Amino acid sequence: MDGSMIAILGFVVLLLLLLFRMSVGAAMMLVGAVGIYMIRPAASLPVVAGEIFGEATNYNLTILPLFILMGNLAGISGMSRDLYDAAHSWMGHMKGGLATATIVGCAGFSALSGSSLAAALTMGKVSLPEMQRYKYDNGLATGAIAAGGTLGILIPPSAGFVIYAILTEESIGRLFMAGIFPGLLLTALFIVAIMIVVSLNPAKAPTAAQVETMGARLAALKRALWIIGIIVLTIGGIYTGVFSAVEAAGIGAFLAFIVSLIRRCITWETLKDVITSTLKSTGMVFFILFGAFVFKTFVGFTGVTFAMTQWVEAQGFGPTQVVIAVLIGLMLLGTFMEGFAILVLAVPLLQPLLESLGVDLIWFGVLMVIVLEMALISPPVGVNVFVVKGIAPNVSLNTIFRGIWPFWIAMLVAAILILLFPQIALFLPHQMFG
Amino acid sequence: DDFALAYFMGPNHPMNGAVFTPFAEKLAEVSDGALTVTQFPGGALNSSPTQQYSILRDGVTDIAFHPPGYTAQLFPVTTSVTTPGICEDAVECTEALWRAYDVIEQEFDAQILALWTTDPSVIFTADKPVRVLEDMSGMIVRVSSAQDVPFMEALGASGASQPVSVINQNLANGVIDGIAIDTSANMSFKLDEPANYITTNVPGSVTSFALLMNQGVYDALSDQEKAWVNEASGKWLSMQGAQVYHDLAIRGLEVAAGNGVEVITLGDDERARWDAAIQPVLDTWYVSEVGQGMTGEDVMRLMKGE
Amino acid sequence: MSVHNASQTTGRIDRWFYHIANVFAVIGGLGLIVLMGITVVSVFWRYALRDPIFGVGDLSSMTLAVVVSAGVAYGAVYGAHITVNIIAAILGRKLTRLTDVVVRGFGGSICAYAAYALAKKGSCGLSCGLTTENLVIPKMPFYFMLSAAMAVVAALTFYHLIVGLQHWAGADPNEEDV
Ligand code: NA
Ligand code: NA
Repeated sequence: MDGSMIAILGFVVLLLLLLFRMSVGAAMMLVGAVGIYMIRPAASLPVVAGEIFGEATNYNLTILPLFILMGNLAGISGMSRDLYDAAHSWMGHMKGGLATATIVGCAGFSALSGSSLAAALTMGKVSLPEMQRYKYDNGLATGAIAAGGTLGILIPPSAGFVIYAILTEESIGRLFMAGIFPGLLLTALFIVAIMIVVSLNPAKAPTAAQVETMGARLAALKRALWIIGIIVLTIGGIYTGVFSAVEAAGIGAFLAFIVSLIRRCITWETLKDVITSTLKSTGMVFFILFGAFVFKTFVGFTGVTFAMTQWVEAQGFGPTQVVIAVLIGLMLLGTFMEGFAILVLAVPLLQPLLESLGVDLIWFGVLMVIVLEMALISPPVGVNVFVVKGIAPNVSLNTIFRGIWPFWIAMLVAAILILLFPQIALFLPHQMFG
Repeated sequence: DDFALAYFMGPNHPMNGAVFTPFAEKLAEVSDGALTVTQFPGGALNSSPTQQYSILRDGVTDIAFHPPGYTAQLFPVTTSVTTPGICEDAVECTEALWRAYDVIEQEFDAQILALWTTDPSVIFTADKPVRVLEDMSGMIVRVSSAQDVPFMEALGASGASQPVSVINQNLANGVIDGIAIDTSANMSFKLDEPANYITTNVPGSVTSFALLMNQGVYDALSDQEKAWVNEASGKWLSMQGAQVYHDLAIRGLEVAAGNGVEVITLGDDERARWDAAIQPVLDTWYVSEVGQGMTGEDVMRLMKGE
Repeated sequence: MSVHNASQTTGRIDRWFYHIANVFAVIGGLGLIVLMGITVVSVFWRYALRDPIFGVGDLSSMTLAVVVSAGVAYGAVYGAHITVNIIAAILGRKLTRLTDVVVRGFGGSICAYAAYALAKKGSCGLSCGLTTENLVIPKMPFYFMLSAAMAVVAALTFYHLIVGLQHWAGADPNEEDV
């Protein structure tokens, strides 16, 4: 059997295992280890050991537990709640303002947390009761939370960008910077989507919160300054090159810890929660990475990427055509597959092809992350939707998925804009120091 | 037979044109196509530069490119070639390595196909030109290996370790003040963007490289096949690699100068002061036990052909 | 797709897994704090004291291995591995109890294989050059810790396989965690 055949067989088996609910990491590790054994028996065991150890001791990956820790500390210190409160106090009185405040709160939380699930979960718990209190349409309310949460992997820090960077050996710092403007753009498009929905059907946001006094608004903003300060310091530190992305994560976690201490939020119980949930998230991501790197090595052994690159060259496809085709393919995969799985599966296969076509991998990374965000909320399998369902047990999955569409379209618009104007993503990384 | 050849750099890296492809072509030629090589560039089999010797020994690949300095404790004699003063350019340093070949061979649990070095390091700095020894005082300089640290400290600076991929950015934003590296690196990492000065003729250290074949794979070959492999590899291949690196270093310096970097060459008197400053470290090394019962001085004499 | 919460059964074996996970959590928690500390200290030393700590990245890397081992073991026991849950909805328990057995068998096997691979490679130790590049920290203990974490995942998966077979007719308490 030639390499490409083994690779295709491997992919088919992998998809089947995922369909049968095998965890992403274990499935990739299994197919990778067996696949390598078929090609080069002696290589299988050392690759499994070497790749697991290699990723578990990869200096650049220390960024993951540190940023996860920072996000969790921000949670217990009440700092993430502050952001929502500030947004609520400034926007709550507007038409659809509570949904808008949810989106803004999610965007702010995303600047502290690299996870979309955490963003949806944390902001959802705070904002959903508010929106229900003011009789917002359930679809609009839950849709805003599920979609807003996806900003977690676009606005830095982002676990999605970290994994993409590790797989492609691009700079984590540059990918983070590339996510900023697209993240703000998408936030704005979400708000536009809310405004359109509400003006088409005012019954979806029947009432609004009272206008707050300027004093109350400033007080809310002032309280949020802590978190804004940490965000500016960490992101600004990366942009100006004062510290690396990894160091920014350590500093950010440390600052969040100090703020939690100042606010007297550190108790034995909260500390235990923060640490165990950080460990859990870290373990989950690394387990996927272990599998991903064994699988990536398997793909390297088969030579399938070379065959694919040659085929694309022979067909005479241009880079734009390939990128669009790839994005559409990923979007389809995204309906039934989970985002991280798509990322770790697709990147090893796509990278050599895109490189040979001269596609900017930072730009592609941003497009890919937006497509993954769409995957997080598109039926039938949308992780963020399931998370929101967990917070809103009385709202049916169908209602949530129906409320998603305006936001899904906003994501599509964002992807098209970045496809047409790569500068939206590439301006900051190009301006970056160094 | 078809051998898997793994390396962590991209296929367009000069190393490929200088050593890997010439080896593969020569092997196919002398064996009349009986022995061939399939390349796995870009870290397809393992992307960690420090793990290349490990994947070779484990049999993940048949042939690997490995810089011995990444696992220096395994190759104490080989990596002694980085000691300042043994040799002055890539060709000379590669000759020095091959003079010690019989000893070096013992350090490798692998068949050596090629063994060569870069030119010695120079010092790239961003804002502070280094014209005299005193300019080094208090500087933070990125060095290539732990062995370089005592020498850097003897010059009055501190040595920092950083992955080569981030040194450009770190020099730009002042995380480090300087980089001790050979000028061929300017071609790959565009160090002349953040750097404004290059000081040459300093007592620098070279980096050694090895192309290795898995010992079990080599031992399993027939005598005829071994002869083909030997013919396609060895000193000639190493000297070719050295020459490419020497030329790259010259080109790197020219490009830097063309981009407005001031090249400072230490005069002989000044160089003598630098040599004097590192002499105590050298003295310590001369009497130290390096490996295989040899002191630093023994290794130095062997490599210098004295 | 679901993120599964810990099984509610409080059998003796479950308790053992929780004990082991808690030990990992304590070690991992310390590792996490050390990791944060190393980063802050190294930045401070470099900027404020202008004296970079040589090879501090080696310390961070090895500490990461501790945190990751703990995370993998703790996360497995306290349920954090994401699975796609579409087939259960379409085909129902009749089929999933079969696929669960297969998937758990394979999943446990590959994790056991990984644990063995890590232990085997790690035991080669210094003679194979298993030390960090700058500070020459031996990697062997970190290989063993990762191996132990994978062994916990393997043992847990096989345990779930057995529990699943015991509940062949009824509802599987670990249904969503395959
Ligand atoms: Na984020
Ligand atoms: Na989906």
